[in-house]
Amino acid sequence: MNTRNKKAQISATLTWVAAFIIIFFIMVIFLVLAMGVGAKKSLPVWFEYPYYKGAEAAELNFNSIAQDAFLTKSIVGFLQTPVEVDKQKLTISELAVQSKANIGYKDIAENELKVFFEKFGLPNKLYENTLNVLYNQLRK
Amino acid sequence: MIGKRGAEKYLSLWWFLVLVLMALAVVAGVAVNTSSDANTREFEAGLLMTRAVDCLISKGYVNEQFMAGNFDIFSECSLDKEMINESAKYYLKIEAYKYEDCDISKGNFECKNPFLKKQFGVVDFENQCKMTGARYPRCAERYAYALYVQGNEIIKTVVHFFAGSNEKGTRWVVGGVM
Repeated sequence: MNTRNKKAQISATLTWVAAFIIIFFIMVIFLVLAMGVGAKKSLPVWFEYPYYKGAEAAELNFNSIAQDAFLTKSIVGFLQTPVEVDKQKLTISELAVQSKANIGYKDIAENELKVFFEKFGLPNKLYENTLNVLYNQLRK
Repeated sequence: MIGKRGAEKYLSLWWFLVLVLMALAVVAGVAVNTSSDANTREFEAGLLMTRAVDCLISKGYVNEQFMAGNFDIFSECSLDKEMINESAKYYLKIEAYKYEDCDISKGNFECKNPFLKKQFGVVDFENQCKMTGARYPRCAERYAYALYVQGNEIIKTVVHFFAGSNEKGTRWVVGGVM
């Protein structure tokens, strides 16, 4: 009877020894991870300021550019820039809006915009989106 | 009965060790995490610039009063004057160039002869930001294209925003602020 009890107790104790070793290593991994996160000393990627870096903008998606105050304000400013056409001063956006009636305006507006977007290193997708807004939404 | 009690002692010793180990690991993990710095300086510099550009450029035009010098950027842009000018932790520079004076290529700007220059806070941050090291400030800079009305003339301008921050935040240790 005593021998039987002893066997059960030994096996239970051995289970706890094994559990201790396993838990010990889990805790070591936990501490290493905690130190790794603590040592990083910076904000996670999702919290970073949407910093625009020239040609790298091509890798940004349209939403991050739309949220960028510097880019949106620059584009809005450029669309308000007056250009002399047919002895009258028209803004780039006015040229685009009136391009349905005057096909020559379309080429001027698109060319001016393209040069501006290339200078500012803005992606083609944004150029197409801007044209889309000018042609389809402002004309309404 | 006697054997059973002895076995329980062995068992409770291991069980107790596991509890102590887990408690120590949790305390150590929390201490390591909470006592580390969170670097928000570059983010803050970016926020400062964004606040300025949002306030100074509207519908493609630079604020005329700002360009004329009759503009209190602190009250108009909701910036803390005391914090920026006296805390020695922030810097904001705004320069305006004529579009023709800027060489712009693929998002890189090289401008000369600014016709307007305003600086607030610690001017030396411009030099300090070039240094590497945890105690130096972090800066951010951006350019924006805008128009400026001067009399009857519309002038194409490039506005340069440069901001720096050396707000290190608070270092926390278990039990209070360090």
